[in-house]
Amino acid sequence: MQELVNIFVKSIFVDNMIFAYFLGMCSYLAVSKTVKTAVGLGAAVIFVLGITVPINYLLEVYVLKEGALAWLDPSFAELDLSFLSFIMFIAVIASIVQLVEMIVEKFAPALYGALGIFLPLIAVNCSILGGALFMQDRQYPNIAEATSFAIGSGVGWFLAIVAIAAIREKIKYSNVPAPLRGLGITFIITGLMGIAFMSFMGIEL
Amino acid sequence: MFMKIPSLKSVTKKIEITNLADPELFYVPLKSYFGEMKPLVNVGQKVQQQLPLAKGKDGSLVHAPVSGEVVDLSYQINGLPHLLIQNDFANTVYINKEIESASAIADKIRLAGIAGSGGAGFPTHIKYDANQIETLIINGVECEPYLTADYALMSDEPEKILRAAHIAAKLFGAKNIVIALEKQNRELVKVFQSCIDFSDDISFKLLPNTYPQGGELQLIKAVTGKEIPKGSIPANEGVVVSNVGTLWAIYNAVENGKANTERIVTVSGTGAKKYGNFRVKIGTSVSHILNQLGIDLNQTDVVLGGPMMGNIVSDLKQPITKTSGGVLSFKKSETKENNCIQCSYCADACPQHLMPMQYASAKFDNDTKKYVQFNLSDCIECGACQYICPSNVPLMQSISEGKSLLKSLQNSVAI
Amino acid sequence: MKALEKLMQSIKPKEDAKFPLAYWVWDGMYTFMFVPGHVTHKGTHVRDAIDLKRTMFTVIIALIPALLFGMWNVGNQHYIALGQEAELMDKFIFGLIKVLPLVVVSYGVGLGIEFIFAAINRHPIQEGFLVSGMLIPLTMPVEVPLWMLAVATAFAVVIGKEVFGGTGMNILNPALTARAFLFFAYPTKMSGTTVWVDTTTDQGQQVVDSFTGATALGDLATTTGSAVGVNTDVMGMFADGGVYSMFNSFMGWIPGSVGETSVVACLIGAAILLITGIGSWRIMASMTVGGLVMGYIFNAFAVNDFMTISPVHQLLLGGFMFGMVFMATDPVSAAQTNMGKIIYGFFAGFFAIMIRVFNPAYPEGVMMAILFMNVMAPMIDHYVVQANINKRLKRVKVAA
Repeated sequence: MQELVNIFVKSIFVDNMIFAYFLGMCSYLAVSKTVKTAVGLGAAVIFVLGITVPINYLLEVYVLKEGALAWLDPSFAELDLSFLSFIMFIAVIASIVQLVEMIVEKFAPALYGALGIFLPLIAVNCSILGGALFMQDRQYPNIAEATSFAIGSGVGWFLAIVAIAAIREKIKYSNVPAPLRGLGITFIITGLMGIAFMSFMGIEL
Repeated sequence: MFMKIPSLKSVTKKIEITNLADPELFYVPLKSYFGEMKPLVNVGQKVQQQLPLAKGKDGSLVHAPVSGEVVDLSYQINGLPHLLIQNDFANTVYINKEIESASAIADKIRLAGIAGSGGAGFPTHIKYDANQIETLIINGVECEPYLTADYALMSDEPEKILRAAHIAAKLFGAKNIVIALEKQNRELVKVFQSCIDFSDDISFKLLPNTYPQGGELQLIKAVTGKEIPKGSIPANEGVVVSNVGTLWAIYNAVENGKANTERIVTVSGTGAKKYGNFRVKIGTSVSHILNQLGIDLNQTDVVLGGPMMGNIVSDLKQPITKTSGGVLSFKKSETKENNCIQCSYCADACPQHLMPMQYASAKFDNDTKKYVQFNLSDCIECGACQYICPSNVPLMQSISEGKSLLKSLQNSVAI
Repeated sequence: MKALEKLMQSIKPKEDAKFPLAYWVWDGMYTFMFVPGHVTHKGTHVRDAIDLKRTMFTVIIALIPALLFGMWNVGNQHYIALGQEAELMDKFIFGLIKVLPLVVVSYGVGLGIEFIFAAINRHPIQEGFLVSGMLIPLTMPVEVPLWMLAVATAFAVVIGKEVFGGTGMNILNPALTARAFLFFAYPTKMSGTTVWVDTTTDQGQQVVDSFTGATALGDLATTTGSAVGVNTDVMGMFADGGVYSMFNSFMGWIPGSVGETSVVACLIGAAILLITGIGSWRIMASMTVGGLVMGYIFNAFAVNDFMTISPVHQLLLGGFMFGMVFMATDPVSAAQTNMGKIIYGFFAGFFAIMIRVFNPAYPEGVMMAILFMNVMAPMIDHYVVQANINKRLKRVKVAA
């Protein structure tokens, strides 16, 4: 249990998707103009990460890893399909997102309305694929830890985009030099926020 | 949290009310709380003092301050029509039989053209069209610095105010009359108590010398503890607040049958060399008052009203209205506007618990949504935020611009 | 003063002249010394006596005890390191010689950049840098090279402030930005054992042995790898009578950044800020509470010696007080709403103690915690405001 909490906290603050790895920057920069949309996108990222990473984890453990197919037939023990992981992960993410979108639309229209356009948007978000690849890279021993990591990363991403959206709303009226308006100042803010988040770097939990 | 502001009243506080010579030309504003008024007289017509000159949509009236000849019906000052009267200095008085013969007191108030003298100028006959009132609050809290017009009325003519208070209380059956005063004016309690008309149903409430204690909502909160819900009016909660100046006008109307054509005006300010509380007729121009006192108009900025809520007079022909309590002149001041440092002093000072700094940012791109979101309509424009602002951000400007923006939006939706 | 004003007026360049730069530089100089400007036509016609410039000067006055004490302490630590006795004045003068260049460089570079930006952007100069320029040297180790200080100041003013449009628009506290910039760009000059005390002898040699020049937190950070009760020598320094005893930490007779060691000086500054109402009591109080809460949590679950330090002692160490009084209360980068200030302060204190214990690489966690909360402040405000709006809407519904 303690391990789960550690992984969760660590993936929010220490290994923050945005400020430690700068993943998912495109949607982070594009959809952070107002807090409201940022919350929508952030929630969608938590949601999608929380679903796709465990599924990709199963895929990794039972299909892709070296010797993973041994459960089918002992003769497959030598087989290493990990060269397929990129394409498999992407395919899983894309199809799962589509599937989830349909299911949500059917059974939870309110949630669908809230997530709306963001669900298909983030199907190709690199932080989602990044989540799957980090999961593969870090070799979590069980699915619970992988899920904890996934949701933690999502929350970290959520925190980052909501924080910058609030800052951007606040500086909307400030007298930023003309060449820097818009994306320029957003990059600078992201860098400064990165400095602030560096306080957590190196913390061992 | 209300602010303590230096009251700066001592210069004019002890000065008795005196009269000021009438000017030759009167500019009677043709505007009431509900918009422009329709003239009842024609150009060239000879009018007598107290003859009704114009009528508003709601029935409020404005009367001739002096006898003379109507010269113009739509003289524009700052985009508002004014009716010009050439004074013949005969001072023949029109005997307004209607006021005396009207049976209901509310009618007398309407016919006398009484409007709240505190600030907004809300027609009193509409306000007094109320029943099930428990408490009548007499607003003797003049929280604007410099102004002592109400104080002068209370100390010079307290019995008139008490008399009017009884009349008003009887009108809507109020059981209690509360006279609200600032602590710095506590000597007025004795003045009132020594009057013949003082009775047991009158009590006093001494309030701290803070700004904006005299705002209607703030006063009700302080006296009764009630907070008036948004969209409601005090009368629904069993409270009516009336300014002492209004009561004084009611006394004149009900007891003497006189229309409301004059008020008390304080002349003061750092640029003024002469000070005082003067009985001035409605329609007297600001320049006339200052000329009479020999105040140099070139060296000063002139403010009509209080220093917090009043406006700089851009056209010195601008007249005294039923609501202007002061003519203040200040040495031309210069302030430097700085960036907002988000100290949030303005939010602390706001009596309505709003966040004024948000209006300044909403002004940048006329963000109506933001104005609405931060409840601009609740703002009472007391100016506390701008007073406290260390960066001298023109908050009041963004507030008034925002309000007119919202108003124009509302009108366009209505059409 | 009058004569100076006349002189300034006489050399006033024309705004539409060939070199408009000249006008704005002149305007910058002039507004810096006097109070000119434009007339307000709308709004109140009386003003509160506290304007921006006075606010700034009040903060600087509040900083003076910390500055003076810092000068003395620089000398004090120097002579302790050399093992020499010295008079009060000797120590002070030594410190003055060391610290004054830092202040001069910080102000020189910062104000220079402000003037350039005022000229380029055609806006009158703003007094915002007055406080930052004093804070920056006070947060630096005394041995920081002057060029580094200049670079950090330039970074803080340009990237931290001017790109956002100047005073009042920045999201991070400029002084902390400068410090964080140096901390990450030149870590060896900003932490460790050699930067906090000037150990050069009169003959120009370095005292190497018999003296550890680390800060209290630097020493404590060495204990995080091992269990409770192992590092008796380090912990001995924190007991009564030790170098970092509660009393010494309170008085500030310990090595550290120039102005941050003395809790007494910070408290005098805090009193000035609180009486004048310039510093927010909400932030100071909630930050103290946040630090104490984290301290007690560590006490309860202590797994190493660092965690056993008493919570009150934690607050006295490592510039916590300095950060709390002068950095966290900076209105520009703090939360605006009252509730937001409390949340902001609480987490700043909470994270400050947490980072310094959990992260041995950054023992000076206060700076990082405040920077982190600076980033989060707009978000906190947003949600506090949202909650208030909802509350108001609810009230309207009840009334209707």
